[in-house]
Amino acid sequence: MTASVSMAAPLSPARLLRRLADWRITLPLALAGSVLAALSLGKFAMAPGEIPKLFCAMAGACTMAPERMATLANVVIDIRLPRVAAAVLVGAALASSGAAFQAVFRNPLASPSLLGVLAGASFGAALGIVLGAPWGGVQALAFVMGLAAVAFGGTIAALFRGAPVVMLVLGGMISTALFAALLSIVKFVADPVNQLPNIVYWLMGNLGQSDLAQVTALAPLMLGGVVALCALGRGLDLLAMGDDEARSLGVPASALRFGALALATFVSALTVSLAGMIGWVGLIVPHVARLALGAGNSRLIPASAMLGAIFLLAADVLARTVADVEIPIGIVTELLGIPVFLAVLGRVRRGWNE
Amino acid sequence: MNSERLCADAVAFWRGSRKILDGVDFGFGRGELVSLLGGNGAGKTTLLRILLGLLAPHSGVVTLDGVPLQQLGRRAYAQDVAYVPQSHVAPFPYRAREIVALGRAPAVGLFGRMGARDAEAAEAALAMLRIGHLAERDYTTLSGGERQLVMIARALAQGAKLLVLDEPMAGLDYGHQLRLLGHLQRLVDEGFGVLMTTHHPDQARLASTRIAALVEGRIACDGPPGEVLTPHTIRRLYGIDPMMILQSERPG
Repeated sequence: MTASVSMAAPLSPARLLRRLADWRITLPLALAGSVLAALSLGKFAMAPGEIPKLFCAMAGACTMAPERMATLANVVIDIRLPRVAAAVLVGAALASSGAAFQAVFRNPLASPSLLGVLAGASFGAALGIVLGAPWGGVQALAFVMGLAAVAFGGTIAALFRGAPVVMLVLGGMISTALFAALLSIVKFVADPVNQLPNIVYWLMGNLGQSDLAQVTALAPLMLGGVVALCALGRGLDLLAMGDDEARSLGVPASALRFGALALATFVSALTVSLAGMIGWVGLIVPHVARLALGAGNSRLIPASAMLGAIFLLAADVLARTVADVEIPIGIVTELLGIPVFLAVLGRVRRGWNE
Repeated sequence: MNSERLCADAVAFWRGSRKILDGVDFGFGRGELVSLLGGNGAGKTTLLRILLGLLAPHSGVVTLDGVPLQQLGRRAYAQDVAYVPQSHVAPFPYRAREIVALGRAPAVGLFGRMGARDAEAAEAALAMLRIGHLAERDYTTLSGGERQLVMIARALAQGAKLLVLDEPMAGLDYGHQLRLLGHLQRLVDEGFGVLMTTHHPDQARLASTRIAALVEGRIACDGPPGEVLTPHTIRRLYGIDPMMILQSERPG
């Protein structure tokens, strides 16, 4: 809204500065910087300036020593690029769907796990590992079971008439409990030498398990989902006011809620199949974005997506540089997330219901 | 496009086997400030929700300018009739200006772009209620009276000429109640139509052009304040005898 108010006026220096401080400029710049940094940071040292040079050389526009170019291409393109791309996609998808969940449930503590998608996906992946499915099969099972868990919770909610939001939360709780129990069964019967460690490792989240082909295959779906969530911004604002108000403002509340939840569930199920369980991003990042930009979802969702991508890039760099062995990223996001959440909690609480 | 009248004709509504509304004929239009009185559980809120198209009556019909609501799109309806909910607490710290601007949603649609005209409409709505100074405040930090005014401003930004208010004075102190009534009277003078439910017969008498009393799911009486607010109606509405209370207040 603020953008549309600014009519054609000469750009004074102060105005220009304000333009540049606009999140629509700063956040994409910060994201691009984070991507470059994440590509250049790691066990194999290189200067950040070498990355643009490498791309330039690969395009044939500049020259570079052939050996150096081969080494750099191997490290940057084959090893780091898939996980950097995965970090961006997963971070953006989790954070934007978290913001959407919070608006739909009118609750700042909602996160993508609320309806059981993570519990279902965990069960699906564990089942795939125990059945000895190839990696693609494990990912597919995780995705399908994530959707199945949400569908199960939604069906329970649909069986009972009345307050749809409360019933959805209860349905999600039941579904989460069911799929957690199923996961326990699978863990119990898993071979403790070969399979159980794989399951445990997968549940901790890992961005390095997909190759570039898999990432590029899922990228359009995830980006499409995130863009669609961004487009729902005003609708989510109206839903956050309550069903009666949304409907009296001309919005089909039930259909909109269904659409937003379907989109958010779809992208979060994809994140689980791409990188396993990564907690906290979907809960914290929207709070940080809300602190900076206010509650309006037209800004909050795209900003959350970019902040989530930056957050996960930082977490991934830490995960692979801080120790000799790579730490599963789910552990890093939880350890990073707690201080971040504590830092914003004091200011965030202001907006909550007493 | 501007509507003149929102009407319920022979509207009935059951909840389970209990009849909440029993053949209600009721309506209001522009230039009127109508208070709907009724005890707790008399069916005021149900009637309001039916008039707003949020609830479908089991029999009877609701019309806007003679057109049944089912034939009107939600967005078209929203540009004529606005719902002002009881002042509530939003879960997120929206600015007051953002909340008011949401009133433009029926006009621009879910995905349409809010333009300079929409920003002006929101601004004008804030100015009309003299709450421009609240525009940048967090809605969550406003007082109950201020929140209620923001909700009315959103209805004005909607461009609707008929406003339906659900107990706008609930939770407000005496001064804020009267100030709110003053705002509503001014809107009616400017050609808006206002329907509100209320639990305050004395204030309804003060401000309304018309009062309707809902007793046991029927409109018991409907007319100018002086005709409706008789001891007899008060007794039917609230089950008390006003004369008795007045007498008991007299010194010994």
